[in-house]
Amino acid sequence: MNEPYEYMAAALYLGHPGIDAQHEILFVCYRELMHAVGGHGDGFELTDVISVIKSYVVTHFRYEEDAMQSTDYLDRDMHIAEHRRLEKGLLSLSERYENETDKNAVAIDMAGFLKEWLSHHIAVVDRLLAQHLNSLNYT
Amino acid sequence: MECQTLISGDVATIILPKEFSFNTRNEFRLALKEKKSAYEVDFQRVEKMDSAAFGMLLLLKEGSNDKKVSVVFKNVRPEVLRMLQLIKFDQVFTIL
Repeated sequence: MNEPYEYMAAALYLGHPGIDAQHEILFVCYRELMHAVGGHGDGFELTDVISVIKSYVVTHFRYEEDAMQSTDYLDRDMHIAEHRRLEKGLLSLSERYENETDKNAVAIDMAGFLKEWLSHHIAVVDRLLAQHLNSLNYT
Repeated sequence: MECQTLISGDVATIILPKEFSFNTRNEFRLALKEKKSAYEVDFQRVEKMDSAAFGMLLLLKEGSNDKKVSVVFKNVRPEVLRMLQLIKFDQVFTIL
C-alpha cells in the first residue's frame, strides 16, 4: 500500500477541523486538475474536475461566511470580498475554458491561479478566521 | 477489500472498501464508467477515508449531473457521517 499522500502543505493547517478538512479537499481538486491536464489516461474528465472546483468552492465559502455571520467576525467584509475575488477569477477562467480551443492551457492557468490564491488566502486571511472560531469553540 | 460495483437495471451500487482512499482511486474511477441514472454509494464497510476519497465522491456527483442522475449515500457509520458533515457533504449529497 502506498504511503498517505500529502495534498496540502503542513504550514497551511490552521487547527480548525472543519476548515482544514475543507481546504484539503480543495487541494485534492487542484491535484486532480493537474492530473487531468497531464493526459495520462487515468485521470477524471477535465470538465468534471473544473465543475467540482467551482461548486465546492461555493460550499466551502458558504460555510466560512455562515460562521463569520454567526460569530460577529469583525473582518467579515474584507474576508468576503476576497471570496468574491476568487469566484470572479474562477468564473473568468471558466469562460475562457468554454471558449478557447486549447483546454489544457486554460486548465493549467486555472490550476496556477487556484494554488496561488488558496495558499495566500489560507496562510493569511483564513488563519485569522480560524483563530477567531477556535477561540469560540465554533465548529 | 476493494471497491465493488453491482448493477441492477439502471442503478449502480458502488460498495466502498474498508479504507477508501487515494489507493482506491483507479477502481473508483473505473466504477464511474458505468453510466447509470442512479448511483447508490454503500458505506457499510468504510472505516477510514482520506481527502482524496472525498474528492472522488464530488467527481461522482459532478460527472453525473448532466444526465440528471441521483447519487445517494447509504449505510454511513456515525463516525463517518460526522466527517461528511464536517466537510458539508450533507449539503451536497443525499445521505440516507
